[in-house]
Amino acid sequence: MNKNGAAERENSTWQPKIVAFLCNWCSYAGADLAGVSRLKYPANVRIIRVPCSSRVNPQFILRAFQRGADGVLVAGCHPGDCHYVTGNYFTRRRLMLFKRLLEFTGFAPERLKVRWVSAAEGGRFAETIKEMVEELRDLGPNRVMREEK
Amino acid sequence: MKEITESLRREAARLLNEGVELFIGYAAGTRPACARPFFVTKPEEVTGLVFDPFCVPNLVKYILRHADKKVAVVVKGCDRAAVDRLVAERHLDRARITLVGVPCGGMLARERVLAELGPNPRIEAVEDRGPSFVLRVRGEERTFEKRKFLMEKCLGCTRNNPAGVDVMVGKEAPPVADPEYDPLKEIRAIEALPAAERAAFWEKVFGRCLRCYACREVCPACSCTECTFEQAVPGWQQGATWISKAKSLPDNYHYHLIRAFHVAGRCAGCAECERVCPVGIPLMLLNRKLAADIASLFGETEEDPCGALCVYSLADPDEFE
Ligand code: SF4
Ligand code: SF4
Ligand code: SF4
Repeated sequence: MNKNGAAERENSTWQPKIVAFLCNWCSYAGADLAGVSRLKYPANVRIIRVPCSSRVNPQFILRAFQRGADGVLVAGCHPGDCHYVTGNYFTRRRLMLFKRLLEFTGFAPERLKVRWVSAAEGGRFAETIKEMVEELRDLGPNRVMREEK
Repeated sequence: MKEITESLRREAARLLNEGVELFIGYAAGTRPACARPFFVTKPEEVTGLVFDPFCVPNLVKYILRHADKKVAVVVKGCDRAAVDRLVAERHLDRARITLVGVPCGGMLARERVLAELGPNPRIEAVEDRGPSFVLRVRGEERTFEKRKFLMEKCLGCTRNNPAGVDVMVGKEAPPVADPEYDPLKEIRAIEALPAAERAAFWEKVFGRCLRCYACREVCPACSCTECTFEQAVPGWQQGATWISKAKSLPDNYHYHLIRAFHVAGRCAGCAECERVCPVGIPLMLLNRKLAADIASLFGETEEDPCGALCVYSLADPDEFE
């Protein structure tokens, strides 16, 4: 974390931005459930609905970081519950590796979170966002790949 | 080295007489301690062919440009893996190409050799003496110990006698790998850095990249006909392309992380990407890191022709909650 980050974090107007890629069949429905159940969670998240978590090309994640996201969440159905049967197994392999690559090249691993959230787990979705916001507040703004520095 | 060169020329002449239309090998380069790709189409041209520890370029990707001909190509052990890659991805038809294997005593790191010899040395002969190469320079013999002067990829090489080739020239070469060499040493050192220093290290490295794409052009695993970094889209859609043509640090990060990830599980480990980089970006650090992670996370036995990321296993670690 650089000096700028610390300054910006102390500046009370800074709010972490999270881009969440949610699988249509489980996690998006889970987020929806959090909404209709009126669960409270921080409004720092922008949701992008994808057909399957395996649709999330790692380039989506980098692009989000480049365009100002401080954290990225990829959420899909629990392994074994994929609507397309095997999609999230590919996600798991791919993102396990990609996360390590990000960390190796200087990203804080907390900035990319992968979570399995089913359609019934509205509470889990709200918790995940809460958790991420807290972690990102500690980390400060992402500056590694940001385009407008 | 003389025997290999001679039998290479003999084999080349024979193949060209037997109907091979193009023989791709090496000729002495225009600079000292350097070889260049050499394209032979007539038997009388084979006298230009050489093989010595400066024949570093991987010639396999050139076959792609001559897919309509009957081609024979010279391969070292590490180049051989690139053939498998391109065949598995159906860019090459193995039945149409003749692989001419050369026993390899390792490749010398040109910069280090030249630093020893001084500018513009005239290298008259090269001899492989097992643990060292002996170069004759102006009548004088200079010994280059392999452990100190080989390219890094050779220090860990276990395949210097290419397997599964159609023609093998020369005698089998003794192993070149240095038993003390640890390919992960540098990677572990970077991993052990505090996060901020690690970030600073890569920022410096990636900041240097010119995005000339030489590393992509030379890579046998980068075989897509259209590259994600250069989509053919009309001007008004340029904003929709993944990265801009302009060189910027965020786009350099994007390029390197994705390039490395696209070859993850498919990289042949030939180190050509790193060799051709004009600004010395240590690309093999990324390639080797990914290969090591794949091996430790998904097991070394994963032998899918399309690479470790095209398959999955129910037994993969479930580290995401
Ligand atoms: S890696 Fe092996 S086959 Fe390739 S040049 Fe080095 S010693 Fe030869
Ligand atoms: S060859 Fe080097 S400078 Fe060129 S794009 Fe690759 S890493 Fe960048
Ligand atoms: S990434 Fe580099 S080492 Fe791997 S196959 Fe491509 S050129 Fe060879």
